[in-house]
Amino acid sequence: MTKPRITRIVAATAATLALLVGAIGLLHTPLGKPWLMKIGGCPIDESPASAEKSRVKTVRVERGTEVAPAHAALGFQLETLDREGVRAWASDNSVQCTEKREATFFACKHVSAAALHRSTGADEVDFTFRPGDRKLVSVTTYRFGLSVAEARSGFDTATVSLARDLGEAHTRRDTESLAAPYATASLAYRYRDLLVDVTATNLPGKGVGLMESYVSAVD
Amino acid sequence: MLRRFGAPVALAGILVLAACSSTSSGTTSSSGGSSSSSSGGSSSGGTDGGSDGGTTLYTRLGGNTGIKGAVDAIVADEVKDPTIAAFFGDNVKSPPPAGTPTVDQIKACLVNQLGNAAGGPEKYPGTPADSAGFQCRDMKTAHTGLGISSDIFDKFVTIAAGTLKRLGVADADIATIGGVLNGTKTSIVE
Repeated sequence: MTKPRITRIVAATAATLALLVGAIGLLHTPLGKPWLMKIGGCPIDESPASAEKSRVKTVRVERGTEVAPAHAALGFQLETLDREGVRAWASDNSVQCTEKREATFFACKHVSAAALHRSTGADEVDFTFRPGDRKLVSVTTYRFGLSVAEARSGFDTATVSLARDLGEAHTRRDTESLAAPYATASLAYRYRDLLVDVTATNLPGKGVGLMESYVSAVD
Repeated sequence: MLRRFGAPVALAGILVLAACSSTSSGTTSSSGGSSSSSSGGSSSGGTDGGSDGGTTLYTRLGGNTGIKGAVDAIVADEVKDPTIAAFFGDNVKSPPPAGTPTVDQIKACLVNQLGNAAGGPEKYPGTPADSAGFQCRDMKTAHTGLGISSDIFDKFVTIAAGTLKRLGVADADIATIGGVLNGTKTSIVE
């Protein structure tokens, strides 16, 4: 390789790097941040370690004293199932999942009722895995835009299912009707090793939102 | 051609990651976890800070102490959601990147905001959140660039309403707080 050619390559490399560093820097300024988010955000911001740190910090405060009689979250075994298990479930049920945070977070959209062993599906099902052993530590489902009747049915179905698996809820605060703006029904279990929340809330103009959250309370 | 630019592209990739890891992502939200203390609640409310039979929303929520307990519980529940937790990534770092509030500072600002909306003496924004002098920012400034979608906002409201309900806050008061939250939506959602 001739000396002028090496010089050209070095110069081109340096110019490319300078351009990229400048562009990356600009994207992280207050003016550039909206553009950064439009292209999917910074891949480093969502670190598995910080997500796990948040989970552990929260569960240490919220957990109860008794051990949960079961650890199934909609059929997914917390602290037992791993990423491969969830990938196999997604494949078997034709569910599309996006893997993020070094594959410690799976966001799955438009999940069918059959895939969840329920009478209705979910707009979104999120799975998180512990960065260390890659075991499943949380499952969260969301359904949005539900009618009052659909939300009531979904909340009641979850209530019955959880009562069968875990017994009576530790906290249950229902409402006569979910028809009013922000009318909310809430159900919670606080075990030493498991936190469960089910919430239905009327979001004005957007129907009722229904969330089911199962979080391992193991450190 | 590909071989010629292979090295620069690989180096650029490393730099992208390095640059991202060393810069602040902005603001708001955070993690943490605190006890779910009760925040009282009974009777019905109406408008922000509205009174009912001589009590205001502020007093029904238990004043500053009750609101602090509610905010602690709401933040703890929010960060159990993996999507929402991602927005708190920088806030849980110790110390957080320059210009990024800590979890406690965010909570203090939320207490000021909710207290102010409920008719309490708290001031929002602009009030220092702690002795370090961190100034609470308005919702627009605090959330600019975070890329919060309408769906994520709806998740936040659903979780917050569930927490308040679990704590025993009355339906009408949840509706009032929900209305306050909804009023901030255009400042938060991008």
